[in-house]
Amino acid sequence: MGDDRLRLPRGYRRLLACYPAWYRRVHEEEMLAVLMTAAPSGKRQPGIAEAADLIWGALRIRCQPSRADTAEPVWRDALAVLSVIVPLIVVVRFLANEARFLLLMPAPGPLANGFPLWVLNAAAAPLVLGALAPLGLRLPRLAALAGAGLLTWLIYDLPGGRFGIAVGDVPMVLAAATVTFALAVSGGPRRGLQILTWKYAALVTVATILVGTSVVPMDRPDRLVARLIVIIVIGAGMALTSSLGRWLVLLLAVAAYPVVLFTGLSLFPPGLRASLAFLPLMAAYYLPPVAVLLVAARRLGLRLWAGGKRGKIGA
Amino acid sequence: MREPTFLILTALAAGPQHGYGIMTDIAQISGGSVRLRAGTLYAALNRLVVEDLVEVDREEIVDARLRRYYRLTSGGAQRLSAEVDRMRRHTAIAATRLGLLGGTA
Repeated sequence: MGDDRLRLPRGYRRLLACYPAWYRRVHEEEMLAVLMTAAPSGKRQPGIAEAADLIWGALRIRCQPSRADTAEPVWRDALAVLSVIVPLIVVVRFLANEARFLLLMPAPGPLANGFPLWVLNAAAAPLVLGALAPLGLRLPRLAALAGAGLLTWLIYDLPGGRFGIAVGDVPMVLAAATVTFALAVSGGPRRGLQILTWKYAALVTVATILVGTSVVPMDRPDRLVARLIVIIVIGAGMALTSSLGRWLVLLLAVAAYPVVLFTGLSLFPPGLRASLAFLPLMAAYYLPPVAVLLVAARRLGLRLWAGGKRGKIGA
Repeated sequence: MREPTFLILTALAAGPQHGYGIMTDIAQISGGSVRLRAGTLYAALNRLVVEDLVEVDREEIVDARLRRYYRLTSGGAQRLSAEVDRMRRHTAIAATRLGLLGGTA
């Protein structure tokens, strides 16, 4: 009987978990009090309309700008910067690889017999991702929706027609996921450009060119290693100077993880590479970034499951 | 100005109120036609606080539950007053025109 009375507040708390952690710290108990006061006696669980209203409210609060004097959480700013950088990196990488491909092909080349469809296919994803940055400058939430669409398209691997995640697209999938997430919850490219001081802009430009042109492992291993060392030094520099730098490095590492892994693998002799089984490789690709994201989500208060101690009133 | 915003400011114009008080007051003001739920109410309150139209008045513990009271800022009172003037002008014009057409007095 006593347990029955606890069902309703527990149900409300589950819904309130959708609200941002900073908001819940201040308002959760207050909102719960209002919800419980408004609930007729004997009510066992939140109704559908109530649930929808709370979820909608949570979404709106996440999208609202916060006070100027309240410090914007650093990870949000880092994501805002990423919403500028990641599309840039993807486009640079695409253009660099295409330029290399087209330059190395003997004449007349692939464009001789009219415009081949596969060029469009290969170009579509990076260019769409690149376009999300300028779109996000004006309409960040719409750009987030577009990013979600791109992500779905990439995961479904529409050109191939199979349902599954193409291994070769892993960097693109993570890049698209990062940009979509950044556009949805952060201040978007507008805020990102505000934050990118000349110091970061310079570091990012150098890193972009290095990352953008080093992916295709046709390079000699020593050149590749030299590039990786420069990138690591830049990353360390950013991480040591500020908490924003640390967040940027962490998030970029998560997004670029498969690129690093793939590049590292390419240093191994081909025979060894071929013997690596498929499933462990997929796990190595996806589990670490997914685990990091789950931990981060948990820390940010996005409770994926009920339970846990709650703060006391006044704490 | 959206209707929920207007109603919240109107409710607070009478004096500081807590969340549940605002909800019941709005139901009364609108004659039961507008029922603001907690999610919508708090999203609107958050925006109003950010825009400095509303601020926290005080907090109390009642029945072991936290109650937070909100009040209008001077900026909020001014905004509400400006909106009332605007709506008055519009309703006056509408009433006049309807009067000319021989509609409601």
